[in-house]
Amino acid sequence: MAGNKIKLQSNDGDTFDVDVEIAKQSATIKTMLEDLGMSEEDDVIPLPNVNSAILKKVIQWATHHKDDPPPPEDDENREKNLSDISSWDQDFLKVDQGTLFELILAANYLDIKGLLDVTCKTVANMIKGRTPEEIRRQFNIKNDFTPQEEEQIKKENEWCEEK
Amino acid sequence: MDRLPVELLKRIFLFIDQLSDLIRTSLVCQQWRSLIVDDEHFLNKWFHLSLKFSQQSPRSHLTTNDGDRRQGLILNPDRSLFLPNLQSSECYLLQLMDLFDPDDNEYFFEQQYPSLLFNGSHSFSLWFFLPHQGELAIQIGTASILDLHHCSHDGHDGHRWRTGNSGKIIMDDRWIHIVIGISESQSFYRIWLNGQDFKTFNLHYTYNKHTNRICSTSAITLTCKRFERSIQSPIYARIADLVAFKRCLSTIEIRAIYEQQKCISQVQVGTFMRNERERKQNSISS
Repeated sequence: MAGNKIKLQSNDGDTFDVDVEIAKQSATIKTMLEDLGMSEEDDVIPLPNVNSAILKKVIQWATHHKDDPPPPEDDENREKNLSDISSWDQDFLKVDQGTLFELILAANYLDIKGLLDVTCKTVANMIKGRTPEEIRRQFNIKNDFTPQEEEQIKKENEWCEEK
Repeated sequence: MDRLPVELLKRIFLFIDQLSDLIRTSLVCQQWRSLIVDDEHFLNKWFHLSLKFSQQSPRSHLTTNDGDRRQGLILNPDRSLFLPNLQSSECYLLQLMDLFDPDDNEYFFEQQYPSLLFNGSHSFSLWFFLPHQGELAIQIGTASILDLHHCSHDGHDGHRWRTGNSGKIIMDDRWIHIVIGISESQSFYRIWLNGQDFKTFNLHYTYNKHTNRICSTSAITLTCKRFERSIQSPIYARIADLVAFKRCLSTIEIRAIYEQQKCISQVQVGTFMRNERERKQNSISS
């Protein structure tokens, strides 16, 4: 099986030749290949939720990480340390926000746990240490609390005066 | 950001590791607030991960070598002596200090954990049961910060303890939950008893000429004594779910641990918060 390639087709019509083993990091593609018996080279797997630019990035990521051990299934064992993004991944994810969110959506759709974790961590790092106003500006979110609501939230204080 | 479905937003929020950051995130907009604050299961999971990953394990894992003893603690005791919810945690016995045998009955936190733990924010959570005639002293440095006495004939049922003469705490036959903690931004330890803020204790800083650093005399010691002289078989205090954290536990976590009487790994802070909110709303409407 080693060296076998499959074709992945983005929603804007481009096809990419990818090693089967690399493509199988996507649990979605793995399931298609194994359950549906799609193994012939002529088969093209259409990916209607992913465009060319993003699919290219995803393949680039999966190629770099092809020898990684599979991530733990259990969320319990997931490392919560936010600073543990590898420098390669940090460089890889130096992209504009739109691309970052597209990558999250693609990683979720293709079910690539490692890519989903690292992209979500990157967004979490953009939240860390910032005030609500800074977070709103960062992600272009509208403050939809009325002044009364903000006052009420402060009063409710469900976190018990955490410092 | 608004293109992301809520499951993915929650996934991102699970990677936020500081409670202060999570609180600020919940203040961004209505949607984020409801995703975080109104979701009991999300909060249970978030706090579960946060408590799990901020734990500091002891220097070496407790083993049964050395006659089932370590640092004065007796390991692997009869589990039926402990609260049902805590029986799955690590349980110990600590022999009460006897006039004839003054050794081996103190628990030194410093010796159990890496010294790095004591440089920054840290806290300890434990359940404690004092037997008849027992007395618990917790010291930081040379100062006594907590002095618990057992008294089975105490009639104060509503309270789990009362303050007796000379600042001594008198308690009856009950388990007590103790948290000792300090956060980096503060110069005092705080003690919580049964979920309530009980006392703060200022640190005394000293200059260590070997390391050229100001350091505190923060050696925490736990000692158990008998306050009546007697010649009997040894008696033991019980300690359950003693856990060290690399941060100071928040009030909400401490209250949840106490109210639910569960091990740290099983406590459900989100459920506790929902119940608290319902209780508050009921008390307002009635």
